[in-house]
Amino acid sequence: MKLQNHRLTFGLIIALALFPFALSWLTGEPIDSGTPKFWQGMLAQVFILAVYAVSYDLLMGYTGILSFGHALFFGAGGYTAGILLKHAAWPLWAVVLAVIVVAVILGLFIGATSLRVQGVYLTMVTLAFAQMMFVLSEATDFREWTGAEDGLQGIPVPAWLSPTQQRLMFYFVSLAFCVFSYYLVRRVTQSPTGRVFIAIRENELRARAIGYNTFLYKLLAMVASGVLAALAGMMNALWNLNANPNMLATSTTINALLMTIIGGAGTLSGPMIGAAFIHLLGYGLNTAFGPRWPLLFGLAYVGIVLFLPYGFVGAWRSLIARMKAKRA
Amino acid sequence: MTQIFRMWMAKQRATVVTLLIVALAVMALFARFEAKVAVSVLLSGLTLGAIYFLVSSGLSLIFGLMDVLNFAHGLLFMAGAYLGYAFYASGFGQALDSNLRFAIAILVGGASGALLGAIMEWALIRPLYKRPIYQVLLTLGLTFVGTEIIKAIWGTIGYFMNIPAFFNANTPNCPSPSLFDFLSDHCSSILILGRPFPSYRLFVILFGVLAFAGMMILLQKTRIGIIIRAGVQDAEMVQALGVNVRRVFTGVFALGTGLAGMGGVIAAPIIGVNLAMGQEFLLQGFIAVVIGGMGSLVGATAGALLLGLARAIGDQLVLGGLQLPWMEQAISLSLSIARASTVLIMALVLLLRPSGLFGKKD
Amino acid sequence: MSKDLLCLQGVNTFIGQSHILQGVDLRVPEGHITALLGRNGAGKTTTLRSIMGLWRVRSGQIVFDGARLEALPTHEIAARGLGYVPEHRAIFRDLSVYENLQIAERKRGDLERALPNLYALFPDLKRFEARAGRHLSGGQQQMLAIARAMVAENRLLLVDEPSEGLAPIIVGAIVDALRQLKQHMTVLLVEQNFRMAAALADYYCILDEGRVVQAGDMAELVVDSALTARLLGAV
Repeated sequence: MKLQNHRLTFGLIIALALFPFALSWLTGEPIDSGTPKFWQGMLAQVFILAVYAVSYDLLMGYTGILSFGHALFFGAGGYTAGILLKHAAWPLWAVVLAVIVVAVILGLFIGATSLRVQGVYLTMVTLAFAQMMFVLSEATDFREWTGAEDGLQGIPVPAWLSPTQQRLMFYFVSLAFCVFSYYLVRRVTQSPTGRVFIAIRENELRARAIGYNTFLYKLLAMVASGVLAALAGMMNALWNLNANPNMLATSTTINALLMTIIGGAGTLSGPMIGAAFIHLLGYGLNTAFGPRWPLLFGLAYVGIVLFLPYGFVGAWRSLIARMKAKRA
Repeated sequence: MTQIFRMWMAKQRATVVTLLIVALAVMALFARFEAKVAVSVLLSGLTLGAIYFLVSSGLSLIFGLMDVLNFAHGLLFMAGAYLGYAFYASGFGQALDSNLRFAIAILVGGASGALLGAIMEWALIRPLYKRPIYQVLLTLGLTFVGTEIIKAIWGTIGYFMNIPAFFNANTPNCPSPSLFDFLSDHCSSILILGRPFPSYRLFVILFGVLAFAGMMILLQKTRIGIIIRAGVQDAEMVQALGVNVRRVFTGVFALGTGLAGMGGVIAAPIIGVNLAMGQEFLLQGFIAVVIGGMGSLVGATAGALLLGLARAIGDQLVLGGLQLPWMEQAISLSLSIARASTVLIMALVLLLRPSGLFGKKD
Repeated sequence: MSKDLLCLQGVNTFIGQSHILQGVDLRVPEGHITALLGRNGAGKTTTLRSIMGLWRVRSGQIVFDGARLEALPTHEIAARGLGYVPEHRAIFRDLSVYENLQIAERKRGDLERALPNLYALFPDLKRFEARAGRHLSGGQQQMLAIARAMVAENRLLLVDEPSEGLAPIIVGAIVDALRQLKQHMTVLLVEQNFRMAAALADYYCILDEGRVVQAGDMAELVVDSALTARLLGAV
């Protein structure tokens, strides 16, 4: 079973790597224009969102911390990258480091404040922090740097990574980013630290009674997930060539929740599937229904919360378990 | 005697602390500004506090009684404002004079908030009492859906709601020299220490005070109030005494969302009717209850008042330019900075006292 | 034996995945006190909570005065005439003594009718009528919890560990109160303090690991000290 899973993942990665070439061959269009280019873009966005979803899963699905402020990290990553590239002309490697540093600092600060409270208090407090950043991103005081409500436009992305000129390169970088993040988080969740995360989710008091400093572990989860989300935000800014207040809005947090829950919290692969599903569905609904698609989107979310609480992967697993039970 | 005093102190400590903070803020205000400016900042703070109270009281009661953190509370605030406005501006409404129309609009806002809240609790939240996290996820999703519906009906542009005639006269005698004169001339502003202050905002303060008094009477003096207060502590036991708690849940949910819906209409002439108002006031409501502590009406009120004062003082500082001792010249900032800084106040309270000022450590 | 007011047959209750009550059969004769005995974790509290509908029964019957209870919501079960005195003296700490009693009214006039009798039984409650529940002593809180269950016209009281954590002299007062109750009420009493249970109860019923292992006349159990020791451990 385990080996099979490995093979499946590996095969999927190969398939995704070959995908642009296959599509170019199938459609007969050159690889850097038309349909192949468009779908490289779609999938690159899916990869970025998948990392964002996985980062949320680490926090919510594995450690059981229900934060409503995840957009804060996503947006912070985008804005940090944008501001440093545009106004300071930093090289990309330094920007990546800076994004990580900013995310660690934010994670420590928000974690230290919000993790003092439990349950729904935490959701309120994290939402409040994210909302504060949202308000600040729109503040006219920093228009010079952030572009206020218009967002930070025209981020100069290094030529070799330009999502418009070097689409294929961007595709592979996003894919590598996604695969790397997935393996990193998987390693973490399967490590002793990851087991403490799960113990905290299952029963924090017990984890504490065994002798773990649960606060530190939760802080670690918050920081780690924040760093990943910020990197995803950075990639998103590179893709869009801009960073805007919408990246910090509550809808961005809802997006993370949606992808995680649709796919199945605490499964890693689930949220990634969720990310693909949501992004492609959003695209489909957008072309079909135009500006009303967010409404359908929200209704789908409510339906899933009510009727499919463990997501696709959860439903799939319980189906398999039931079939096995029947066979036995 | 000392024991009774100590018991009284233990009970009132939060109130004392709140009053102390308020007193300090007021003293700082009077030290920094002229008396007439300080008073009008204070009144602005009370106005905001009254609106925050209409949101935070329901949030706090609903959470206290049924452990549901209602992320859709801001949505119902906004829905109340839109529906109240729709009535106020509709053809049918135009036949009535603006005061009566406004009074009915408040009722429309309250009734729609209450009705939507009751339906929401009954149909969607009730099946999820065994899965509390999903309640939160659900109410967040409902906010999203509801906002989209409002957007589909009323579009993305905001609306202005005119102040009713009772508070909107503009004769040569205006502003009214005193509250007493206002009752005959209905000026849009009243002179307070020689500085005009919008009369409608005084009405908002009055409305907030009345709502608070009404809620206190309901909670302290009626049977339903006793049930609510008991239920906040132990809903199961209330049920075991033969009370249909589920029905009380729905009722309290409707009461809370009804207050929020009314709040939306009350706030509309000041802040307008727009798609951002729900989020904004939900957030302020959260901050108020986090400051005050959940499950206590007095806490929600204190939180709302402190937050309102903080916002008013912050706005005044920001607009007037901020000059700290080491600065060469005052820097001027936008209101966003004042809005964002309220979150830091909340963070500060959490660091000092995680359960909020009036929160009970259980 | 007189007629059974309450009768449980094959009651199974799960809490989460744990099978707590595994087919409990229990009879509570009208007009008497029945003591539900057993070690910690035997399922005594779960039995009371199952009767009140606070835990849902997965299978089995609960019959009260000829009517099935197990499918009813808690407030309707209470309305049939069951009073519940939960463990740990679960009174409403933020309410005054009077309000604690007031909330137990099921129909208008209940309190007015019951109050003189309750205050005679527990004079402390009258003295501290206006005091908040949290400022009462442990014994007073227990008296309030019992009094609260007597406000409405109940026919059966379910009392969970009334002596828990109380000083002997206060336990004495509570025994007196329960003894007076017996004259017009049926009681199902969960009690760890065997001496107290023996002094009060007419019948007993012993639970072990979610099953009834022994039931009968209290008088017989008291004389048979070997049996008591075997069933309940050292007394």
